[in-house]
Order: sequence, then structure tokens, then C-alpha cells
Amino acid sequence: MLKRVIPLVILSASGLILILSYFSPITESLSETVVSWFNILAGVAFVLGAGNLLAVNLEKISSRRPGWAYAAITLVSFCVMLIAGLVKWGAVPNADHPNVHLAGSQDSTQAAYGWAYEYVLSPLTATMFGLLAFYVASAAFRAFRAKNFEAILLLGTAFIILLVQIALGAMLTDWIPANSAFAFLRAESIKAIVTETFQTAGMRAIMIGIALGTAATSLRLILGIDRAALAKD
Amino acid sequence: MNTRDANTQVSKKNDTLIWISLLVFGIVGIAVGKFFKPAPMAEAYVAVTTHARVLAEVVGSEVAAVDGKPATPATRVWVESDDPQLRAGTLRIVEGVEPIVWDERSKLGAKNARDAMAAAGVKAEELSQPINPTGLSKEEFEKRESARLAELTELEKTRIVPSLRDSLGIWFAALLTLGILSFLVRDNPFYKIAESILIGVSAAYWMLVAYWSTLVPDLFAKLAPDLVRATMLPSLQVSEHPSRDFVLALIPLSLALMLLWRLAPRGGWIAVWPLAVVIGTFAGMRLTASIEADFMAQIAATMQPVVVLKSDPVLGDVGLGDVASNTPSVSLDIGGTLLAIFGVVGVVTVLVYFFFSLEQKGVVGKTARVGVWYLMITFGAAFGLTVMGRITLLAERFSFLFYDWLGL
Repeated sequence: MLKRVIPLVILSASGLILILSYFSPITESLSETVVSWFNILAGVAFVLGAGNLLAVNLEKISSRRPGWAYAAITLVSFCVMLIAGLVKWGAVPNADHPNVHLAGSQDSTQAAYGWAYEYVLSPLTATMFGLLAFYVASAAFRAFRAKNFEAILLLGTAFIILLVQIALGAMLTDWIPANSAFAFLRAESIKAIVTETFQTAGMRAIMIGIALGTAATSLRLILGIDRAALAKD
Repeated sequence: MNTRDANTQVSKKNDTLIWISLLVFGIVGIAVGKFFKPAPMAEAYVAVTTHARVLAEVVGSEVAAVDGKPATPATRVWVESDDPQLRAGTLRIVEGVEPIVWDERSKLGAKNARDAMAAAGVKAEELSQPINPTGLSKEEFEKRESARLAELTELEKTRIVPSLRDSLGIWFAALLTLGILSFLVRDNPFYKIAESILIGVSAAYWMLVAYWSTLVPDLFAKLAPDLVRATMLPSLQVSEHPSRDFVLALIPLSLALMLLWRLAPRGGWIAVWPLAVVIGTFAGMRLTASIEADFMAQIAATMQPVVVLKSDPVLGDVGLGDVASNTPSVSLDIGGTLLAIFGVVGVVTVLVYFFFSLEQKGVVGKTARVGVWYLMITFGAAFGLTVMGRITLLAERFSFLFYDWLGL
């Protein structure tokens, strides 16, 4: 009862309230309350994640498992950032309430939190994603083979899109007059045709498929047909 | 050692050789660049604006006690020390409350800072003299502030000064960037340190975002509004139903505690209740949103006229009514029409390919094949755009290293 039925009732009730509020303004305030609970729980989920990170890394350090020093670095960076952000270290006072320290803004590099975002988090994430360029290109080089018509389409489109976005692509087609009958062969036109017509058509169909899948999965959850999500582990 | 292992080793040696060559080439290039353009490394400036705020009362806003009703004190606001309303007499400074003075620092690019200083004909060190009057008595402060502000130019009010804090930040960011990039050679401690810092900082960052943007205003502000107003959110509105808000806030608080129970060694099933709220709410939101914003909106965007008209460049667009009367200012846009037809055909054929309930044979099979071609073009374009996006990010990081850090 406590482990299976009540969670199922809670799930169905929350989902139905949200669906009903779409059709009836009477349940609108109720749905707003449920959504605010959802937001709070989503926020608490980050706290849960942080707690889990602490537990895993502390366990790694205490048992001196290989790489425990890196776990210590993770913990130190986590704690420093967390404390700096919670106490708003170096925050710029709020102009209307300069006497309330925690009302200040910590977005600029003047505050420790803003500094860490600007000089640690932002460059690290950008470099990490930038690094993927090498691996994506390398993987493509190994995997892409023009074996059949479909593969040629994939390869050709990727090549054209890459080419028309760089200076060489523009240089190659700049000689075609912009108001001539062959203007569609200019780099910017090719990119527009491929992305706005063909890619948009493909993405639209994919989006329609995803929407139907999402709606079906949501219904299965709300009606209690799919109960796997509420399994304890 | 078999042939495959030997080949792998040769390939690894070649990779290392390539990266070392690139490294040597890069170092030599940087040295040459620095020789011809000796600029300081990690140069950083900030624009410092000094704010001075005093607590003032709105003159005449106090209400005396009448007929048993308690007196209402005057409305108090923090204003700039040179606020015109103070001189006009509509505001008066509250006695016994010290003014609050602080410097606000905004990051400036080295080039922007140099341009601003060149435009004003001054050097950075000339503008960096401290003008912070903290510690002066109130009268001295007011006198000095009004005299100072009257004499200062706009640029002097916002001083441009070198920033050690930001220079250190640029050094730190550059070393971390190099640490991540070092993974291209092989996995190494330098990379692992940068990666560990990223994990720790990003976990704390997202937790802080959730804390300040959701937990404080939506939960704590309802549980203890006076405390939150006094310490964190002074502009928090006074609720009309504080008791009801408090009781309602106890529900998400209980659910939050139940969710955190998952960290406890026993009784993890308790976390399933709040999880049910999260899943149910999300499912309810997505059900309507996906039908409305994705399903309906995508179909509506597809159901457009496939015959596209273009207006005459001289006469302009005269509307469809004139087409019926054979006005020559509107003509058929053949290119646009073809693209519109291709668009509709694409959506329909890809949907047919996704319709797995039908066996893809005959007409259905041929239509689905066209759908596959569209999908290949879609994935090819997405791949090209993704790679370009990543390369742009990488170019930005190199730009940071060369210009912001090395000052080349």
C-alpha cells in the first residue's frame, strides 16, 4: 500500500490536475500550486545530487581507492563554490537595499561566485565541448563510408554544410551573381535550402513522432499502465 | 606481439609525434609573436563605479496616531547621496544611520579599457586613485561627496583600473583550458585535475541556481517570510494569506525531506512519494505541451500553401485579389513553390517511414525510402552544424588563449 498504491495515486492525481487545468480554469490555481511543488522538488533534486556526490567522493577518499586525490579536488572545489555562493562572498550590494548583504548580486567577477563562473566553469565547459570537435570529426572520418545512396546523402550534406559555413565556401560561389537564375547555388542559398527546407521537413516529422511518443508515455504513466518509473531502484 | 598490437603502437607513436610537433610549433610561434609584439600577459581592467547610498525618509509620509489607530512611521528608502530629492527637500536623511559606500567593478576587455583611456587622454594609473570616503563622519562625507561629484567627469566617476583579481582569473582559466586540451595527447593528471574541478564547481553551481532561484523564493519565503525579507529578499511582497501559504509550504517541505531520505541507508522507498509528484506533474505538463507545441504546431507549420507568389519589385505586393484580375504585379515564385512542395513531401514521407504498423512494401516502401533520404539529409546537416558549433567553441578558446592570456 505505502510502497505501491499511494505513489501511484499521487502520480495520477498530479498528472490529472495538470491535464484538467489545461481545459478548465477552475483547477488552474491548483495546478499552479502543484507546479510550484514540482519546481521545489526539482530544486531539491540538485541538493540530492550534491549529497550523492559528497557521499561517493567521501567514500572514495576514506577507502583510499585509486584516484582518491581527484575526489578530494572535486570535494574542495564543490565546497568552495557552494560556500562562496551561499554567503554571496564579494556580492555587489543591492542599490535599493544595500544594508541587506544577501540581497546583493553575485553575477559579476567581483563576487567569488561570478569569478568562478567566468574563469572556471565557463572556460572548462566550453573547452570540454570544443574538444568534442576533434572526436566527432575523428569518429566521422572512421565511420562515414559512401557505401550506398543513403550514406552518400548523409556524407554529402555534412560536407556541403561544413563547406558553405567557412570562408572557402563563400569564396567558391561568390562569383555567381546574387540576382541571377543560378543564385540558388551561392553558399548562403545552399545552406538556407538544405537547413530551411530539407532539414526542417525531417525535423518536423521527427518532432511529430516525439510528441506522439511523449503523449503516449505520459498517458501510460498517469493511467498507471507503466509502473516501472516508480520501482524503488 | 601480433600485427594488430604492433600497428596500434605505431599509430600511438605517430599521434604523439604529431601532437609534440604541434606543441613545439605553437611555442615557437608564440615566442616569435611575443618578440614582435611585447604586450603584457593576462592584462585585465575593470570599470569601477563608486556608489554612496544614504537612508532617507519621505517627508510627510508619517501618520500620527489618531482615534486609537497606531502611528505609522515615515517611509524609508536608500538613495544616492547626491539625489536631487534630498536637495529639493522631499526626502530627508535619517539621523544616526551611516551611509553605505561601495565600489562596483565591471569587467572590461583590455582593448576596450585602452580605447576608453585613450579617448579621455589619461593613463590607467592616473585614474586609479582611491576616492572612497569610508570612515568619514556623515557631515564630512556629504560635504566631500557633493563637492567631489560636482567636479568629476563621467569617466572619473567610473574609473578604469587594472584588476589583479581578473588577471589571476585569466591565468587560472588558461591553465584549466590547457589542462582539458592536454587530453588530446593522452589521459594525464593535468586533465584529471581540470575535470575534477569542473565536476565539483558545476555541481555546486547548479545547486546554487536551484537554491537562489527556487528554494528561497518559493519555499523559504513562504515558511519564514519575515526572516527571508530581512536577510535575503527585502523586496518580497507581503502575502495576503501568510498562514495558508505556510501550511501549503509544509507539503513540499515534507516531500523534499522524503526525497532527501534517499541518501539514508534504510527506507529509501520513502523517496518514491515525492518522485511520484515529480513524474506525475512532468507527465501532465508534457502531455498537453507536446500535443499543443510540438504535434499541432508542427502540423500547422506544414499545412501552408504550396503555391508561392512573389510581388513585383517595382510595383510591390498588391495582394491575392489582384491575381484574380490578372494584374501583372504578382507572379509565381517557381523556386519558392518547389521548396514548399519539397517541404510537405519531406514531412509526409518521413512520417510514412516512422509508421511501423504498416509493412514497408510497394508504394509504402518507396515512400518510406524517400523519407529515409530526407532523414539522411537532416542528420547530415545536423552533423555539419554540430561540428561547426564545436569548432566555433574551440576557436573561441584559442582566441582566449592567444589574445586574452598571451596578449598576442
